[in-house]
Amino acid sequence: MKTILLVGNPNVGKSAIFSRLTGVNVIASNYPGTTVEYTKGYMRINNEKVAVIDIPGIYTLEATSEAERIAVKMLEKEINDENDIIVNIIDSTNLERNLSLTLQLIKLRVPLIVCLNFWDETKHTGIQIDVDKLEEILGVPVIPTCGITGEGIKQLHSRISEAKTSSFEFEEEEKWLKIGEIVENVQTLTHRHHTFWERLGDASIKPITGFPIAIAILLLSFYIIRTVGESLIGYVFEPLFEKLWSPLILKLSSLLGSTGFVHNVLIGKLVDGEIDFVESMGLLTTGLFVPIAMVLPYIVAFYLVLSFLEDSGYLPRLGVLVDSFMHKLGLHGLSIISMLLGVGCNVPGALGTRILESKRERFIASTIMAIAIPCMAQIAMIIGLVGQYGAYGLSLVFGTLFIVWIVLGIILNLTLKGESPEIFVEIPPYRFPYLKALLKKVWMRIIMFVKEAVPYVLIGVFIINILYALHVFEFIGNIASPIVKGILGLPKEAVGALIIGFLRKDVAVGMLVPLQLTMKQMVIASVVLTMYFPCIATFAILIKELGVKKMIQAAIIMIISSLTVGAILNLIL
Amino acid sequence: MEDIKLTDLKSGERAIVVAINGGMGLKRKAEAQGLRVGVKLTKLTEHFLRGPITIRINNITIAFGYGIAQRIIVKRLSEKEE
Repeated sequence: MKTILLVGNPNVGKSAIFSRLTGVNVIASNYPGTTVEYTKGYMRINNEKVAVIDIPGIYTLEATSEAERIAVKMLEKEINDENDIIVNIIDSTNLERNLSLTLQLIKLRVPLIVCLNFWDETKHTGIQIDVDKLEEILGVPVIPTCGITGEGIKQLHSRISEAKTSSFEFEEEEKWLKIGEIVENVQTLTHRHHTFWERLGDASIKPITGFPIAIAILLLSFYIIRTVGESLIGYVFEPLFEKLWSPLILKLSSLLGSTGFVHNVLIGKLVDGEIDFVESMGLLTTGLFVPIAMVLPYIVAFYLVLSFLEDSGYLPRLGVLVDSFMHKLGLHGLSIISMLLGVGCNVPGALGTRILESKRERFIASTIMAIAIPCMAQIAMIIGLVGQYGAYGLSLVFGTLFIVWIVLGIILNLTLKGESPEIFVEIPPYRFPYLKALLKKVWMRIIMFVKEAVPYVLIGVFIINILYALHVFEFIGNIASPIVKGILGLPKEAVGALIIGFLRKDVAVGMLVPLQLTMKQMVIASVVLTMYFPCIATFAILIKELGVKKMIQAAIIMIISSLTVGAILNLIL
Repeated sequence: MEDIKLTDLKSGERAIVVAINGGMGLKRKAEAQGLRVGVKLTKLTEHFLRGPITIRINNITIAFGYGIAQRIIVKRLSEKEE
């Protein structure tokens, strides 16, 4: 099949154009390295079905990072038919730098078409580009576009078949000279004043103003996430379950005779003749309530805030601010982006570490994330359950995890051979997020969560019922009692939560409720559940990204550190 | 004007890149992001404790570590030379 490859520098809007061309929704953000995976979609050109591939951003065909190496390999692998086309997407506000890749692509002698993306931004940045002249010089079609709003996409679509091999000739040594000549010929700059966004951009990266701004943004983010999450739970989801769902389930319960195996699997145990959505442990009660009414509201709230931060362009600036600190953990500042993605879900967090240069950094980043960063599903459950003991309990859990994150990072940095590479990153301009694109992205992430989480939670609840019925928890609990009871100070029944934690950590936290734990035990259990092992989805990704050998090393670190931290908490609290 | 390290340039000052002292890896990476001998840059910020440096070339803002900045040799530009 004929293939169209979207190729361009990082953060020039390839993913937005990909979504426009194929109708396939992909995550697009405002920082270099959003796309680290291969995305394929299809479109029709003159009634012919054509494959479209979104290649992760590259500055040059001579790769300088792991993400670039993967991207260049994809590019080489995918160009195999003489009909294949490269659509080179260019940031119009940075013509000179972007043309460097264009000239390299021209040398591949593949039919080419050039998109001048972010065309809308040239107006207020005082840049004028003579499109016809650029088309004439390069000898391939050049089309101004704005992927986010869709401007120019129709034209791109209708002219794709005009793509052709450029006859532009140049010697490698005179590449920059040639680029200079082209830019001179087609671009006119008019003087303009600095915009508000540029001033804000500079202020948020200077240490003196940057740190207060970062703290303010962080606090505001927490506040918004909590308010939105709590409101959704309190005003929408809890009333829905209590007022509408509960009476229906109670009717079903009496139909099933209020007891028996089927009743227990579907509805679970009634507490004082009523449904307790956290404790009942039935597929239709806890199985739905945990993912939808306890976790989903926080997922919505978190991704609203994260997506706004991503699209605004703030995250790389935060990366620069925390760079010196992150070096103590053997990482550089950009790894903070993977960590923030990990707060949503460890899976994209682990994939996000591909923007880091060395294997050592990726190992440190994935390991400390998998150990010390609970995902939003687990955080939501911890807030719901530990939060009952007040803010003190919560600060103990998250404070401990934060200290573990730092200490483990420092230890790994000191013990692993090699050093951490320095940060080298392009800082994108601030952009006010385009509301429609932002909401679409949040929606995609919610759908992804519902598709992933609900089935796993249901499977989890089902397995819990089976294992209870077979007395498996009791059996393992007795064996593990010296560790669980002796070292961690938890009742042996807590072993059930640790077993189910392999599958889904949110359900695992929920399993602690019937155990009537003290605050101290609840804190220890929450911390240990976060640290001891990743959930199955994260585990699978880590094996793929780190390899089996490194994953075993990471797992050993996880088990040792979780027992150590649990034991320390048990002693000092 | 004498050649100085980028780390010795003050925030807000303009300069022209004279040399990049590094291996092919660094040179290629720098060039890929638009930083190469002969381009004019503005130093935007520096961070204490040998933290990262931010510069602007045309419309591009780039940040990199102190160690890299030490290996970039520049010449200050006066108003006249612009």
